[in-house]
Amino acid sequence: MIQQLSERLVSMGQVLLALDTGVGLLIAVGFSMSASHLFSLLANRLTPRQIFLHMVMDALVLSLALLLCLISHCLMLALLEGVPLQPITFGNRMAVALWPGLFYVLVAAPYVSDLIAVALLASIHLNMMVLVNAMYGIPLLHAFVICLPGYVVALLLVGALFSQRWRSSYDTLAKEVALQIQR
Amino acid sequence: MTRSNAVVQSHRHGIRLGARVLISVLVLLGIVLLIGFSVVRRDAASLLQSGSLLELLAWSGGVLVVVLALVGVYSVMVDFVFWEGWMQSFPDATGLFVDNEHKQSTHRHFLVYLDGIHQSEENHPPRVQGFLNCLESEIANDALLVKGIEAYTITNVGLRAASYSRWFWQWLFSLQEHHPNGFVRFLCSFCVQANNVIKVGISSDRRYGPVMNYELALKIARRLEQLHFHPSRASRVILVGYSGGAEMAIGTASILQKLCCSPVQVITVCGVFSGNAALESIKDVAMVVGSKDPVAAFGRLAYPGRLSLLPLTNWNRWQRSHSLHRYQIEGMSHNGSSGPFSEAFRQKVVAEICLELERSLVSSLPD
Repeated sequence: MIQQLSERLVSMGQVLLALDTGVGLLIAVGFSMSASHLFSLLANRLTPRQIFLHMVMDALVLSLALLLCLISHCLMLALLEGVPLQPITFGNRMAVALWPGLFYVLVAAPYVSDLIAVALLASIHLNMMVLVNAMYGIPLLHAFVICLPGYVVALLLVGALFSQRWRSSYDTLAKEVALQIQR
Repeated sequence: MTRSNAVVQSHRHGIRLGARVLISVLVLLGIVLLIGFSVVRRDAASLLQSGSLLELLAWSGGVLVVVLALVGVYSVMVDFVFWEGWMQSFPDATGLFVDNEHKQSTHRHFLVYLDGIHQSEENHPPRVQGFLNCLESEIANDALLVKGIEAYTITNVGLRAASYSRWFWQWLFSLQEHHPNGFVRFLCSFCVQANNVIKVGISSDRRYGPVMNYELALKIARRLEQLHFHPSRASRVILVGYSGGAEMAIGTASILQKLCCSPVQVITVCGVFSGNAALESIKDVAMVVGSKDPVAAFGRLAYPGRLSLLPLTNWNRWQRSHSLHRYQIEGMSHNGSSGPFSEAFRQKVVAEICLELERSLVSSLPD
């Protein structure tokens, strides 16, 4: 069973290597993630122009967070496995692991959002491990350790951005309700 | 036409276009699914192999998640369109109850009934109506039972007259009422319930809940205004929520309390709710539950925030500072012949609600 699973993961790694889409995917994933929280911008009572600008900015910040995640993987590889630092080549080849993030826009759905988000993020992490394994022949368990810090950093950055957006929207709501009651 | 009107019109046009595009995407998705199904039928022989069957199941599951998510997003979109004021009624609470200063109601306690997910229009089904008549006759003379509030739409109209999806719901209701095939009728009623389940999901979602709950609270407050409610005369508002209506009641309680400037208490009947809503300011929450109610029991699993295993959740924190009153009725189920609206249990449920009303009234009196 474990042997079968391991073989499947290895073949998945080969497929991902063949895809090789480059860092362009980072931006697309950033936009998908940004779009998933469009309603928080609406709740902030922003104009369509402001909403567009915020979405673009958020997409870029989220792409940056994912880029940091990849750089962290690169550093961990250099530290733990002695792989020479080649951030640009590494980033170009590893970005394909982020493809499940293209569906992150579905996290906008109510109630099932957590389930979708966890599934997509877990699948991104699995892709990272599998790709590190396929590219450098590092065992999956080691790959897990290498990919973990960067992944946690990216999650914290993404979480911080989204929670800040929602918090400000609740403040807007509370302020408006209070104003209307006072009148 | 003034400039602001033109802007609103332009927004409205944009949103309508968006809604049409989304509906077209959903229809296209349906067609693709149908084509997929016909291909599957053609290759039925190969489908019987376990590998193909698993693959088909995985794809179907994936498509189902995507469709569910898209329908959920559409549902949220309508709420936020209302919140932005892009629909005819703007969610503005200014001047609420001002006209009632001189024509105040003689009632002091306002019981607002919020129905379960089966609700599709303002009129309640006969069995629920019977229960409400029974409740109305048992409550005190200075209490008023407010019926017919659609808990799953944000505007004052029902699904039949909803702004963007009117044609769809009218078509669905006509099928539900007149189609000779029982399965089609069941499917239509399932669609109505699915829509309402999504609304319960939105209300319990920590991101969208506050906006939707505000809109529903405002709708209830406006209904109370029509009934000559005035904070200076009213003693309290009691939200009675059945099944999914319990989530709507708990979700709106805190905001309704602010809007009405009167204490709000919640009584759930066979309630399915998350406990995610802001409850700090709500003093009294009571639950009337049936010992054989599988839906309410499932609700605890669907909303793990109510499990005692997670002490830091919103619901568990509220329970540490307030006492939750629980009235269990032996043998009562969620619906049907052993449900709370049945002849067998109607009186018992009404008695428990009246008991809770009495208890909370006594406890609120100064010593």
